[in-house]
Amino acid sequence: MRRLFSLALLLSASALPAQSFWDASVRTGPQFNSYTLKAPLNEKISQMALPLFVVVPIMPALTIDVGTAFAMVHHERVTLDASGNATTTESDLSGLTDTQLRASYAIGQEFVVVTAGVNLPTGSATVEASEVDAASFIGSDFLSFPISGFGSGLGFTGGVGVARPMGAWNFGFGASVRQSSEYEPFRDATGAPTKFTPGPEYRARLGLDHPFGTGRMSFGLTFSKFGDDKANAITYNTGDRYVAQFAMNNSLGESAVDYSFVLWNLYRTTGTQIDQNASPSGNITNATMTFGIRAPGDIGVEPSIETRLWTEQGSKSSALGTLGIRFYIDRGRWAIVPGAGFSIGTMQSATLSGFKATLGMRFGG
Amino acid sequence: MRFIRAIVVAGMAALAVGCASSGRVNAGGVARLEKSRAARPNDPAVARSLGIAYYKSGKFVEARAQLDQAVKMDPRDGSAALYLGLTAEQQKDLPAAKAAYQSYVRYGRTSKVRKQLETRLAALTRQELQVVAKSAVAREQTLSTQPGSAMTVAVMPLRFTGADTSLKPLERGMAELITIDLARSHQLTVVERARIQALLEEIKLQQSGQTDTASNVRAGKIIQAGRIVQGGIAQDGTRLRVDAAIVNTQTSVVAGGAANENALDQLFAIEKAIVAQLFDSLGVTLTAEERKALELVPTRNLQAFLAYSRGLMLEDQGRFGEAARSFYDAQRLDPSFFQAGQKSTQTSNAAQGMVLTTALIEANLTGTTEESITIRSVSGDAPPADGSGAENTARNIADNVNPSIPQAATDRAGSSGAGATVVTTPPKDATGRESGRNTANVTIIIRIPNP
Repeated sequence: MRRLFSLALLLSASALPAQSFWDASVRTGPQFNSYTLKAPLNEKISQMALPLFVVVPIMPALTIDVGTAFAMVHHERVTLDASGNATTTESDLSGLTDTQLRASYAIGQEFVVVTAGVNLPTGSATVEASEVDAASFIGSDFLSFPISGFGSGLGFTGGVGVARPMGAWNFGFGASVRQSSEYEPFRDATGAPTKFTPGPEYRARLGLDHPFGTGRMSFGLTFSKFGDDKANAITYNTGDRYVAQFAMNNSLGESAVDYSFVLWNLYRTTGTQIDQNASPSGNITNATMTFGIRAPGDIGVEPSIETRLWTEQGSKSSALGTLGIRFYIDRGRWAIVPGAGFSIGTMQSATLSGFKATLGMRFGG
Repeated sequence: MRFIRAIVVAGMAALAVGCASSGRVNAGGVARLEKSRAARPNDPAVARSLGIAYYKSGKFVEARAQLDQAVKMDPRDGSAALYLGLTAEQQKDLPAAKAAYQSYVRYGRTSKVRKQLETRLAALTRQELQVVAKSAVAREQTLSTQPGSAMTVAVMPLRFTGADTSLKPLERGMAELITIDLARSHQLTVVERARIQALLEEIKLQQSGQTDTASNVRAGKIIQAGRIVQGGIAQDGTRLRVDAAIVNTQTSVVAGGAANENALDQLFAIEKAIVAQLFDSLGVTLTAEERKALELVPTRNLQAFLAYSRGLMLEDQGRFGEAARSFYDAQRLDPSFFQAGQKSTQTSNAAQGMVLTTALIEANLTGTTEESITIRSVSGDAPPADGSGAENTARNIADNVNPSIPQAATDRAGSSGAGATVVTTPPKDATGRESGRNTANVTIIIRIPNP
């Protein structure tokens, strides 16, 4: 089941270290995501995103990657007045996102990988009052949008990943830090900006993986600690985050069918809101089962089913189920992966439905 | 058209070989890989790279050891299987080459390489028959002293006599039909016709002038068949007579037989009558299911069967391109004659595969993933992680703690159709480390009272 594992990373260069300039690759994946929330919310949100990611190996141990995206977001809210008349409010947001430049350097036998990145503020970090609704939804932890924000100011990141084999297992540890400069995330109707200074973010991850049948099994635990943020003169905190992950993939006997199961859980601790009240803690659990059916000629089909459950302190639980299918054509030097998914569920007290279409493409690598 | 395509393919491959990178290995590169191999003994990617580097250096014994290990550790590594096959070919180990190429055909990711190896496999199957026959004849003294089971039967080509020489290919066709029908009994082990033919050719090469019966009995002993079926086909005008004798290979005594005569267009009825008598003589009682299976005929079209028989004769002579055309004609005459279609593909592949060399196969790697791996190996670079090494774990960890949003977004398009997560990364990591910060932004926005 190396196959499905590889397919999951079909467009990914990260797990396959490039060795020479000729391994440079360009990846893009136009994708459309749309959710419709029924009464009492009566909202629709859609995003069209065009991410672009270029990996350029400078030397066997050093790789530079550059990524950016263009996205368009449209939001509609229907409100009913006392006499039952409907009013539709629209909110749109579009443009280039920030550009991220990152270098990865593998030390020695590649068991140590050091990364350094810069977030170039090519996207608009400031959201106008008319764009608030659109901006709020795409940042949701629960709904799946590929682009969760357009800009976050100039920022720098540094990280390291270390791994050691322990028998048949590989054990890994990593840590990173991010520091961003002040920017203006919001401007009200009068044009008055909110000055926002993010606190540093620290992240640590433990990982464990080993062969499983023809594939692999892996465990991961990530902890993110957020420093105090400042909005104008007010200090607050968004709470820490824990992510636990389990993934396994294998083949069904000697057949041309592979499978992958991924389970993750995200827990966010309580923090401090900007009004100094405690922010609610929240939890999201997600499970995905994917089957990969290989066909001759480097093509295949992968149906999948995904379920997601979101609970937040003081709020009604939300649930989402998604049936997806994707096809792939992988010709080594290039790959095309069209896919689509249909979701149904509830978000707090509203039922929701969603649709997504993707077209992953890789050239080179 | 297939035999023409074979020539074209061969020509193109010959041109390509001149364009392919020679992949000269430097000693320093090999030393670096050897060092990596010592440091990462359980990493199949390193074993594969070192094996490829050895192969490119002409050190086939060392290459074989490394590539064997690589394939053992990761049976789905197509590149390792490919080079293992190439190495085995260099060492004239055809069974190992075949097994390795079959592994590539199953798991390899480049379709043009797969197609090429399928043709090479067909050619190797033919060559292997000859090698096995030669080896068997060389070990004749030993093999002949081990009497074969009486229930192991080999059907020899029948001898044709008659004025219409266009019917001569029936020697092979009739033997093939009898072989197929005898094999319908679970009590008998029937030797594949192609194996017998390769053995007879080898015996003929070594000892011309031997009578048919002597050669047949000798072949039967070598192949450890307890009994052989031999005989003749006699044409007289529009009539055809088939005689078959069962010969005990240990005593050379005829122990039963069969005979039938009918009009030429009743060829298949003659064959069925012969087989029924042979079963009686061999002491085999068919089950009801086997009797029903015996009624099956591959074709009812005499011309199609004659074309098929011609194909067998040409195939036995190693004239694969012409054989492919005959088999193609047979299927054209009777589209339901699927064995003819199969043979047409096999012999067409063999025709193409026969002109392939390891150098041509390597030349065909241009622009493939395998070429990329080869270039890395030849340059002595540390091998790429393929998901099983600790370096891959380190990279994934580093990616997870310092991800790129656009990277995650493109991965997302290439991951499951649901597109929610990349398999190896946790939820919001898939949309980048920014999520926490962006959520913070959104939190601000949401919490700030709307003016």
